[in-house]
Amino acid sequence: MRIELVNVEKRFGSQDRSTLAVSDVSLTIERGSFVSLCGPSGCGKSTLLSMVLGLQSPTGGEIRIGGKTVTAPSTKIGTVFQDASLMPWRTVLSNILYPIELRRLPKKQFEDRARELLELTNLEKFADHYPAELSGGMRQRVAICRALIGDPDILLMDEPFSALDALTRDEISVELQSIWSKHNKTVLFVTHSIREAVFLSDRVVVMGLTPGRIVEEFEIDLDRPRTLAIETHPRFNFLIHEVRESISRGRKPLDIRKAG
Amino acid sequence: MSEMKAGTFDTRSDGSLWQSFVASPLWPATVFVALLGAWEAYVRISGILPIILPAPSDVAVYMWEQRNKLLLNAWPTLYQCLLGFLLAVVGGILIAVLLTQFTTIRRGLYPIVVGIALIPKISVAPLFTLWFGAGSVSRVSLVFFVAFFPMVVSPASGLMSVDSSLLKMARAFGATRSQIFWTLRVPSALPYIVDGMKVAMSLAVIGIIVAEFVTSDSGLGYLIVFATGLLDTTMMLAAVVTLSIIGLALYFAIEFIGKAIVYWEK
Repeated sequence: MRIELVNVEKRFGSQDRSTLAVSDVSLTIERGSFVSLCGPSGCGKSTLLSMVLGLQSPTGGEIRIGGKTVTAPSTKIGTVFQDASLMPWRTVLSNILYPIELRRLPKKQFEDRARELLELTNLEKFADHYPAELSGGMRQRVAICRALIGDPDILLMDEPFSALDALTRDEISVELQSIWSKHNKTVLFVTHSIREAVFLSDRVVVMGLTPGRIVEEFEIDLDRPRTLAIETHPRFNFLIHEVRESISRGRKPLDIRKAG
Repeated sequence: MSEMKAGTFDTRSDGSLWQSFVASPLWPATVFVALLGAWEAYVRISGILPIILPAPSDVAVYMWEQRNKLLLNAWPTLYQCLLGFLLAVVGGILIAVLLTQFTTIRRGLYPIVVGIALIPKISVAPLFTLWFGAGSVSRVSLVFFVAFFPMVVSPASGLMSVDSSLLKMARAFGATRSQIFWTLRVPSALPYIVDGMKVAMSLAVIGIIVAEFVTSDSGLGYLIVFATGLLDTTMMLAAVVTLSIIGLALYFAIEFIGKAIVYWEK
C-alpha cells in the first residue's frame, strides 16, 4: 500500500502560543519500498510517524494510506517502537498474538504463523519464555514478530534498534532486510543512525529543525541483498557522507538561513 | 603460593565456618533462643513475681495445657478478621476502579479518600459499638474500615501506573478503552494490589484486637482484657503469642498468594 503525505503540518499548543513541530511535509512512499526518515532530535520525525499511525492527527494537510485518509490506527499497519514494549506478564508467544487478540480473531489460527515468525527471527526456542528472560536484541525481535503477525501491508518503525548495542544492531538490520524482501512490506523507518538508514533503505529522507521539515531526499541505488561487507563499498560511504552533510545543513533554522 | 591464589578466587572456602554460620538462618534462630534464655534466667534468678513477668517456659506450658481455650478464642478473632479483610479487598478494589476510570469521581473523591487514609482510624472504634451494637457486625465493620483505605489507594495507583510505552503500543494496534483496561491496567495493578493486601492485613489484625478490647465476649482480644483483669499475666502473654502466630501466618499466606498472582516478577 502506498503512503501519501500532502502538505502535512502539526502544531502543538494553543492558537496564540503554538509551536510548529512539522511544517509542510509532502512525501510519497510507494508500495513495497523501504524509506527512512533521518534527522536530529526534535525534527518531528517521530511526530510524523505517530500521525501516519493515526495516534495523532495533523493540524494541516492530509495523510492517505492506500488512498484513504488516516483517522485512527489501522490493522494494515504493524508498528515497532524504540522500546520493545512487551508485556512482562505474557510469554513471548502471547505477546506476539496480542494484536490478534485485540482484533478478536481466533488466536489458535495464528499460532502457527507466530511460530513461523519466531523461526524467522531465530527465537523458536523462546516461545514460552517471559520477556525478562530475553536480551534486548531478542525482545526487539519479538516486537518485530508482533508487528508482522497480522500480516500488515505497512511496517512503521520508530528508532527500533536505538537501544541495542552496535553488534546486535548490525545483525538485526541484516535480518530486517531479509524479512522485508521476503514479505514485500512497505516500510517507513525512523532512525538517528545514518549508516543504518543508508544500509536498509531505498530512499533516505533527511529532516531538519525549526520547524521540522524535509531538507533533502536521497535515492540509495546500492544493489540488494546488501551484506555488512557493503561498508567497504565507496558508493555506500559516499552516500553516508552526503546524508551527513545534508543533516548538518538541516540543523540551521529556516529564517536564519534566509537572513544569512 | 598457589593455594593462596585459589583461596582469593573462591570466597566461600576463604570464609571460616563462623562466617558461613552467620550467613545462614541458624544465626538469627540462635539469637532468638539466646534472648528467650536470658529472659528465662532473669525471671529465675531475680525471683520477679509471675504477675509482673512470667518466664517464657511458663507461657509455653500454659499454652500447651490451655490449648483448647486458646484455639476456641482464636477462631472468632481469625474469622472476623478475615471477613473484614476480604470485604475491604473487594470493596477497595471496586472503589479504586471507579476512582480511576471516571474523572468526575476521581476529582471529587480521591483527595478525600487519601485524607481519610491518613487519619488514625482505630480512634473511632467506640463509635462503631454505638452504631452497630456489641455484636460481631461492629467488629467486622471496624476491621473493614481500617483495612479499606490501603485497599483503595494502592490498587488505584496501580491502575494508573501503566507503562506509557505499553499504552502507546496498545493504541497503535487499535486497542479500545476496555481492552486497555483488561489487558494492561488490571495486570499492571496486580503487584500494587498485593502490596495493598499486605498493609491491609496487618491493619486488619490490629483492628480486630482493638474491636475485641472495646466489646466482645470471646476472642483473643477479649482473652487479653480478661487476663489483665485477673492479673493473670501468663494467660495474657499466651493470648498475645497465639495472636502473633495468627498474624504471621496470615502475612505469609498473602506473601504466598502474592507470588502466585505476580508470577512474572522474581
